[in-house]
Amino acid sequence: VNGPPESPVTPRRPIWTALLALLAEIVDPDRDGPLRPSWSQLATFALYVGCAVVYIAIGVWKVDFLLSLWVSIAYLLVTAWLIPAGLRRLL
Amino acid sequence: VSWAAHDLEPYAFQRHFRLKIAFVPLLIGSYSPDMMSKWFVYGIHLGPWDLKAKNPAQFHRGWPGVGFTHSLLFGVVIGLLIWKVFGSKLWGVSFIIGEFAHALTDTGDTVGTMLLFPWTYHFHVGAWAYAGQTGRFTDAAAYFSGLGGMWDLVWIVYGFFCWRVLTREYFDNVIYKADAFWGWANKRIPKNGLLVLYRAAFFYGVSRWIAWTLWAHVYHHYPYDLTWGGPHWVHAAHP
Repeated sequence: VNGPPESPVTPRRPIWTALLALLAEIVDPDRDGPLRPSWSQLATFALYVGCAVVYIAIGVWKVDFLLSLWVSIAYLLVTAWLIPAGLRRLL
Repeated sequence: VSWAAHDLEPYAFQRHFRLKIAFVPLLIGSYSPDMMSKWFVYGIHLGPWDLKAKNPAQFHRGWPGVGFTHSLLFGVVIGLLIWKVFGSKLWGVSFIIGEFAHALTDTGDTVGTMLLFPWTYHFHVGAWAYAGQTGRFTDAAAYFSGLGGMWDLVWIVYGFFCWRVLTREYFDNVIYKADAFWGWANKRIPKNGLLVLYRAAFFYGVSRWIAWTLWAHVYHHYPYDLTWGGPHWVHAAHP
């Protein structure tokens, strides 16, 4: 007598992976692309992290630097756009 | 008083409303309640003169004062004006959403906001101390030692969780398309520059959260106090 077909064993996900997936559904339900960033996106992120490290260092040293949104916009335009664009043109 | 939340909230709202709102007026709305008043709350030195409100909390959030800028009515009035003057319902509605976010967020401190002005009742949750009257630096130290700083951190984590809102693809497909402003700006500034401008408020919010936290706790050693209404080492203002 043949018994019921065995159901395929599905590997259990770690609890933190399941929680992360649940959180993703709650806060970002209409996500429309891969959750993993591309190398190009990571390179952009690294550029901004570099800009932020310098900005934070200057800011902790001279806190007046942190007070203005306009200063941060000017800083970011120079460091994240103009300097990389200039370097790309030179190289 | 909130420090970084007003920089970061617009990205979260944009993420959920997508093409239905425009980012620039949303951000302006988020900044608008404090735009003209914060300098007078903290005070400035102009040559021999010290300019500062006699009662900063009352001036900032109360009536008489400019506390009406933190009300829902203020957002609606300015939003309707933007709609009528510039002929853009999108800009008007986006401004209102940004201003509402600011007014609601600031109910988190001990002074709160007159949300339903002209009713002058201060809606306040009292989660963190309002210390604007102590000056900019003590206020920063207090804010980044209490639940206010943690509330900002929630928005930072949320922002990184929805990181695609900051990508070039999202900017091209949603932000740029939602608002003709970006096309107009693109005639003067290349798209790469506009993308940096779009990301600037997020960069500012996250970077200064980290910088002020380091300044308060590594450079100056102010104690953390994450209890309700704290930090209690600073004198908190109340309505």
